[in-house]
Amino acid sequence: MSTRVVRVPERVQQEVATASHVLGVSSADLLERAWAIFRTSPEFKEEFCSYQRALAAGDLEAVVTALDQSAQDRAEALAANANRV
Amino acid sequence: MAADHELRLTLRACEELDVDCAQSIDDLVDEHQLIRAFVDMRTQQVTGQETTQLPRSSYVVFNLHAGRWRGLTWWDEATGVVWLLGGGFHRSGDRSDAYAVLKGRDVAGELFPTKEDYRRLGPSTPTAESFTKDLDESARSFVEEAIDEPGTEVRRCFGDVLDVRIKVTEDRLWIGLLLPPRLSGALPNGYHAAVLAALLPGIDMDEVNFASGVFPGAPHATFEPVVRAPVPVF
Repeated sequence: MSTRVVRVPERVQQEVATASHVLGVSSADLLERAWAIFRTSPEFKEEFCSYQRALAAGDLEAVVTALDQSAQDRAEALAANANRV
Repeated sequence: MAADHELRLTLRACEELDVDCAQSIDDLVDEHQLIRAFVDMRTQQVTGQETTQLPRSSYVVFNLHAGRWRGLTWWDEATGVVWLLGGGFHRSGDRSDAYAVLKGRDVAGELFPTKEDYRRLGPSTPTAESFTKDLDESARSFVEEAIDEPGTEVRRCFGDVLDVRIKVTEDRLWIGLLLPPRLSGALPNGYHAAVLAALLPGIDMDEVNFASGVFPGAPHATFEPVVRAPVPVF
């Protein structure tokens, strides 16, 4: 059981609280679940290893390229969500 | 502006209002009366009083008035941004009426922010470069400082983007990624992975514990992803 204090906008907090009630967990535990899902994804592990290799090799250009691609991917996902019907 | 949201114009809105999209909202506020109304009306409140029913999209959008100008705004919860989607003259009953034009854009799938809008919201290539340079130059000394003073929390902001705190206890390095990041919008996942990779050189991902609970010895002001890993050897 987490004892973390979560400070978020009131409206978001209400939505998180509703989702928490649906799942029967605290809002802090819900956020922790989201982090756990994120960090256990194969994509995250691959990214982590890739950055480790590039930094060890001093290949900073590869790191910048990967960060830019990450930003492109995020932008594409957000745009797809914004433009869904 | 309230701390928990930001105001932005889409590129299409910039075109319609004939303003320079490279300028910040603070610079644009005196450039156009609709932008002035946008800032005045949406700074404290992310939504408005009057909605427009869109023909295609299910999102709720709010009307904006300034003299004869009309616009539509959308509260984008995923990024914490209120977008001004577009604007034009009010010509009641005419096909060129602002609302009619904006509804037409919705039908064409051209009303809401595009990939380019979101790309401009996120970290730029120069930001990625300065972040990477900072990781390369400072990550090792940052960790070594924590190793030299076990039990002491050490903090650093990498590339003016992401605040991190670390502490060494016994044989473990604790890493807290302080949220939200300093950038507007949502920080791409790659930034979290990169900072962890820089702080944990040579550490196998399988030895990294992500579900480790609260950062040791410190109260949490906000939700904070915490990582516990073996102490790297340089």
